[in-house]
Amino acid sequence: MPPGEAPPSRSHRGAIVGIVVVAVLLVGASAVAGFTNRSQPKAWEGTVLAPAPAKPDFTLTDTSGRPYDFQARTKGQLTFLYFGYTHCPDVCPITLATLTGALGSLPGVAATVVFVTTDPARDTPARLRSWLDGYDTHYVGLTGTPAQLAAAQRAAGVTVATANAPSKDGNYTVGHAASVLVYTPDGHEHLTFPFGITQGGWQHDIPKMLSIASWNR
Amino acid sequence: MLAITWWCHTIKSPWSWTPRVYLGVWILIGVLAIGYGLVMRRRARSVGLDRDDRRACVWFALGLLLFWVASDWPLATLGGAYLLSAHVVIYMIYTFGAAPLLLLGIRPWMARRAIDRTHLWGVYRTVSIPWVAAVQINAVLVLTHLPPVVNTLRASQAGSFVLDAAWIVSALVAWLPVVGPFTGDRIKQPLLTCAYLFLAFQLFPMLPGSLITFASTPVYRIYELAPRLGGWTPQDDQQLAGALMAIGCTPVVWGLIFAIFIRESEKSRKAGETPPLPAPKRAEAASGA
Repeated sequence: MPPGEAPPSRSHRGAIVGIVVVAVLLVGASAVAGFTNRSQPKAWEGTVLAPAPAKPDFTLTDTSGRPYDFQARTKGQLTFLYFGYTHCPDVCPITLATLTGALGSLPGVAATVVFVTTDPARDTPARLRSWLDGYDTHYVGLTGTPAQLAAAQRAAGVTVATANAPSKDGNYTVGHAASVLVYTPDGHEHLTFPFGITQGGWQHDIPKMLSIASWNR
Repeated sequence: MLAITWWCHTIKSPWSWTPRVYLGVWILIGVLAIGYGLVMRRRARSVGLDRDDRRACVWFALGLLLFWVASDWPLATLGGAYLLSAHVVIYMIYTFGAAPLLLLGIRPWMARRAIDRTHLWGVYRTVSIPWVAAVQINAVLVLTHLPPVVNTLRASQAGSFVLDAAWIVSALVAWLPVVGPFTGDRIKQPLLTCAYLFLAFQLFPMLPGSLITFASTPVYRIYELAPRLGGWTPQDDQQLAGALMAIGCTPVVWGLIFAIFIRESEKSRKAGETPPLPAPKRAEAASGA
């Protein structure tokens, strides 16, 4: 047999059967993966709250140094409330980026996004403003004393954030509630959105929220 | 502290320049390198290595090097956990770099012995048929880029290994008709080789590449929710990934097509040259003097 040649061909039947079996297994595995990821179309990407809590009543300081009455200033508006901090390595930037992308793709939706810092020591008004402007210059940034911020979180029904022990370089992370609290124009939180909502998820739920008449009175 | 795992997969922590150790990658490369070296050494001791054998060693080493670059930190970490574009770069390196070079490093006597021992002649014969090889690589491309498949497999080390293994195996099969170890099984006509390269490697990936580039929202959840790198948005990353998938293979595919054309035109030119006059016979030469 010449050195660059394979032996004469034999029957392909067994090989074809084997390849078909492998192909079916591959397609089946892909189908199973697809089904386990999304077995049924969801009614909501967010978590429905029943009964729906009322919008919390708190007043903090905005990035211009002026008092911001959350209930009064967002009355009758679709409002997204988020507690986080600008030094957050992952959850906060991802959440705001995803929400910003979704709102940008829904130009007919008028919404107010309010970001309340859980790290007042490092999140000065200037830093807060600069960080939020990276997403949208209309986002509202709020800060306050630790006591005021804790009260706001309790009023919103989320766990009060706590700073973790600093590392050797002095940096520290803050454990905080990662959910986005959404208040429809009727002033109630019918849905809450834990971390992990994709842009597509927001695009699904926001128009749906606005289509429910009783939520938008 | 170094993070040590078997294979790369999705991680939730922000990017760090601290290297990550993927033991499975190092073990696999070590086994392949040592195994290949032992086989070549035995060959060298028994019948000696000819020029083609030595050249094959270089190709195999380069193929293994590219496989390591694509499978280890930092590229594998970026592709497994942070950037869709890095995920596509890994696919490109496997398909257009590592696979053909590894195949070029497999000598016919080596392949014959391996296939003999594993009794896989039937499988080899079938998958090396050009249309089968072309269809399978594009089928694997589509299946392994379905969003539920990527989101599920990349989330675990085992799943990520399955994904990478599917890519490298399908690429090895796809290159058999072009650079396979048995020259008799390669596509013989240059024009058909060029057509195969275009149809198998370039034409079809344009479709998923375009779909990804022009999608209005991020397609893959794991990359959309991954910690960000710099100011890159998931959309920026996705658009780059789609463009790479659609046209990233162009330098390799069209470079090869161009090289084939140059080689064939050189052959034609040499075949068309006037052959030298035969030397005069000695008697004629003596009488003419």
